[in-house]
Amino acid sequence: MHTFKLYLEFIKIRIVSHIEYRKMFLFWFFAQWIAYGVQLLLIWVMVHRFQDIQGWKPFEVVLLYALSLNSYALAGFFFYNPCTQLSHLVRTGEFDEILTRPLNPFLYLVSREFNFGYITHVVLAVPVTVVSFVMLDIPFTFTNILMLLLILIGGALIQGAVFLFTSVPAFWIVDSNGMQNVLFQFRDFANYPLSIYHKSIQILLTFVIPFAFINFYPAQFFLGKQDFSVFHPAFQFMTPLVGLVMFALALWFWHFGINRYKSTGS
Amino acid sequence: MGTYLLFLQKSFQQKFVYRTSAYIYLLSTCLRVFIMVNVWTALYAGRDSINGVSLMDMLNFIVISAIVSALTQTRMGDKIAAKVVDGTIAVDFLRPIRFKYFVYADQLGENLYQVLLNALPVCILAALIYGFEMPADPLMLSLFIVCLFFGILIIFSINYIVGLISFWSKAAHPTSWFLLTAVTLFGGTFVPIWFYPDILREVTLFLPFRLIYFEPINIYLGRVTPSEAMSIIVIQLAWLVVLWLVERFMWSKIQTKLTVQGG
Repeated sequence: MHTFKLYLEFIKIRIVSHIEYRKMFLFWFFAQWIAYGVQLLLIWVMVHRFQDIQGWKPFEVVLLYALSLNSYALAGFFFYNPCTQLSHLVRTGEFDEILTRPLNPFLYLVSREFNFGYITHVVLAVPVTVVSFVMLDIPFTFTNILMLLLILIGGALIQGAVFLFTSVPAFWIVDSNGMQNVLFQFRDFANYPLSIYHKSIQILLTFVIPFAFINFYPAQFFLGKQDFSVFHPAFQFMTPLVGLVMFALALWFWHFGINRYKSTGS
Repeated sequence: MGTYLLFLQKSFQQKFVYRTSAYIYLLSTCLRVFIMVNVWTALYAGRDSINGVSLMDMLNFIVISAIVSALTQTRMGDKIAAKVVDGTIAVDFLRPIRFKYFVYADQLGENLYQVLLNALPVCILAALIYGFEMPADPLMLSLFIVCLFFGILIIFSINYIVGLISFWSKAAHPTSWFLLTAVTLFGGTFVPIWFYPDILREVTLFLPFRLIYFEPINIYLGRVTPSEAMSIIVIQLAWLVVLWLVERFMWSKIQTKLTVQGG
């Protein structure tokens, strides 16, 4: 319990140092907010002009995007910095220093490298989710709100697991940042309904890189849709489970990597 | 001229050093094109044409835009800002060269590399899979090339001006984010302006961004008459004059006020 407080303290320090330069922070915040906002607006414009995409209405697609952005931000807070910097930490030998601390290296890294910048995504995605709910006449019942929270947590675990999976090769002195970028480009698939893609892509995004569970399947719970193609409608409830399994596997892989880690000696 | 060609060549060669990142770029361009083709095909399902644009036009747009976006990408604003912040700008000022042309040559070398080793292979692949049409009229093709050339000059000028702002602010600003966002929204790089609601489309007419990317492709696809294409090019030239005046004005201020912090 005591060490838990310590991790929270690390996160607090990160947030304080992030907003220290207030003007710069706000400037960056605004720049990113507008950039994502414009992308959302244009997706709406595009689908609106065509009325629908594979039976999905403009605001239904906007909801998909918002769910994806929200869970990405939740994962990004904790995992973006540690995972993108791991190969750098290994190369410079800084990672050895982390191992000598009397703390769990994973939790230490995650809290020390907390990235408060993702607040931008949250401040965009949360209102957009609420607006989509209103525009789509989805009532804010207890069940819906609980479902939404579970989906976001499950989605964040999936995104976090992908961060971890792609960073672990850094322990074998493989620069994994490129691979990470490609995998995160796969997130773009999830900005649109999965059913527009070929079956092989649908299978890939369901069973291999399960981004479809972040938004496509669970969104259908709110929308009362039946767009599951070859998959089972029960998939709409499975996001938290998939998230937990993926994240557990990723943690196991992380420990596997750390146990085989040999310092670069620098 | 020869000096600047050498700078261009150097920045082109520099990109060759990072072989793995080249493959990764290639893969990510493939993914982007693939996703967009899927999205537009799904949007067009059961519809012949929307606003007079057919699916084939749209697929052509995606393929050709891979090349145009490789040619019109710029990082020079960020690069200039970084040089101002760490003081290395002083070294560039000591060199007996025109700073602007050096920056342009450096960027163009990078862009040509992206075209040859990234956009072109993806285009050829996409053209083989999805089909692709060249403009039948050689006149339109040459107008496209002229329009594209001026489009590149426009985005380079804008980004250069954005970079010059850092001489006043002395900090790396997220200005390039704003610029990229403006190009996406008013330049029709993500969703072509054909599909914009009227208000947004009218706003784009007053800004230079649509002249960078959207209008050259419009000419390529033969969606304008040759005389309309000519007037687009005239508007481009007018914008280039305006941007040139702004840049000259800023530059004259900079030469008397440049202070280098440390270095």
